[in-house]
Amino acid sequence: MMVELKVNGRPYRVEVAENELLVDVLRYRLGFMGVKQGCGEGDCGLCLVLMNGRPVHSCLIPAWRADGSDIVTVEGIGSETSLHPVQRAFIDQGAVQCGFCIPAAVLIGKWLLDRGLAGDRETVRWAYRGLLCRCGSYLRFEEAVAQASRGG
Amino acid sequence: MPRFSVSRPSSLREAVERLSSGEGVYPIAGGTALIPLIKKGLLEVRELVDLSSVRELGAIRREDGRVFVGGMVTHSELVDAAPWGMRNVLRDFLRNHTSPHVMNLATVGGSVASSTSSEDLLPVLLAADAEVVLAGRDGDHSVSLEDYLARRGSFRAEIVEGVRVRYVWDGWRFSFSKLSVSVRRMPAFCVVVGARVSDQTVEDCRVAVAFADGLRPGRLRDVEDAVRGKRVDAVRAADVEDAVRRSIRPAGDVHFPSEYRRKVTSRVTALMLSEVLGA
Repeated sequence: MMVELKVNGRPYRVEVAENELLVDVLRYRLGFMGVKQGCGEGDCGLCLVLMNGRPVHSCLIPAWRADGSDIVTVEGIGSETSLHPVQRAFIDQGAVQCGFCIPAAVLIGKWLLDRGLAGDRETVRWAYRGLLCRCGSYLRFEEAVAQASRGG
Repeated sequence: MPRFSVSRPSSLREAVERLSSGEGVYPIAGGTALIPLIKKGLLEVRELVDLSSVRELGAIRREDGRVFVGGMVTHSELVDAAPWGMRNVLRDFLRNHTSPHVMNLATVGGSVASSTSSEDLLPVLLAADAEVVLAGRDGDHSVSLEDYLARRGSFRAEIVEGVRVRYVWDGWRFSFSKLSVSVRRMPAFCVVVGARVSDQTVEDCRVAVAFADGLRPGRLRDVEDAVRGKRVDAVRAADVEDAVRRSIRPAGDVHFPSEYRRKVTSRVTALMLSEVLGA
C-alpha cells in the first residue's frame, strides 16, 4: 500500500505492508530514531509523535492509517543552533537522566505549549500521565514546561 | 506482527458484508486494544476491516431525550462534542484517569466491543443507561449495554454502530473513581455511582463497576434496589459495602488478587454513594 506522509514538514511516499506500524516506518524506514520502541502496546508512551497536531502512540497505528497525515517527531523541532523553548527548558531544569523517554517528553511539552495549556500544572501532569519515565523525572518535566510557558 | 490483509469500506453496509465474509475477519476502530492482541498472537487475523472511512460511525446527534454517539467517535471527541447530562463524570474520567495519547485514539465503539474491565468508559456508559446500536446483515437493532456485555459472543458478526445514552439527568449527582498503576493497565477498581435525591429520599440510583463478574463490567442492580426508595439517613455504608461484596466476583491478576478487588470495590462504592447522597 502506498502511503503519503508529511514528516517534520517534508513529504514522503512510502510503500508499506498491511501489518507495518507507524513507529517502524518512522524509525526504520525513514530514519527518525527519536521515535523510540518501548513496550509496543501503548503503555509506556515512548513512541509518541504528534499526528495532525495531537499526541498519539505510533506503536498502535498501522502505517496505512497515517496516510495523508502531518507528523512531527522530536527531530522536527528546534535545531543544534536554535533549540525549541521546551528543549532549552529541559536542559536548564536538568530534566534529562537516562534520556530514553525525552523525545516523547519534549513533544508533550511542545503540544502543551502550542495549545496554550502549559501554564496549568494539573493539565501538565495529566498530559505526562501516559508517559512512563523510568528515572522518575516528572517533577523536572513539570518545571521545564512551566519555564517554557513563562517564555524561558 | 503477523501478516493480514486490509479492507477499507466507505459505508456501514459494505463493512458489515466484509465482516461476514468468513473466519478471521475483524473490524478495527481505534486499534488501542486490537493491535496489542494481534501483536501478542492472542487474535488470529486474516483480514482487518478498517472502519475509519465509514462516515455514519463518526456521528453525534440528539434523538428524543437521548444522544447517539457513533462507534468511531474518540474519547476526546466525546467530551469535546457531546454536552450530555453526565458530562461532569465524563470529564472527570478523561481528565483524571486517562491521558491525551490514549483518548485521541480510543473510540466509543472500540471500548464497547472490547467489553472488558480495562475499558473505563464502560461503567460510565452502564450508569448512563446506554444501549448499543448494532449493524448486521439483517439490518440494525439495539440492545442494552448490559445485555451486550452478557452475551458478547452472540454479536460477533455485527458492528457497533454507536451507543444511545440518556441525555437528561436533572437532579442527579454522579461520581467516578478508579485506581490503576498506569493509564493502559487493568485497574484495581473502577466505579461509577449516581443518585437522585428528593426530600431526603433516594428516588433513583446507579451503581456500575468494572469488575462485576470476572473481567466483565456490570450494573449492580441488587445494590441499586437495596438503596432506592430509602431515606438518605437510613442508607448505611456498611450495608452497601456488604451488598456490593455479595454482588461481584472480580477476576484477579498478579497486581490485584480477586479478594482485594472485591474488598476495595465494595468499600469505595459505599464511600462514593455516601458522597453523592450527601450523607
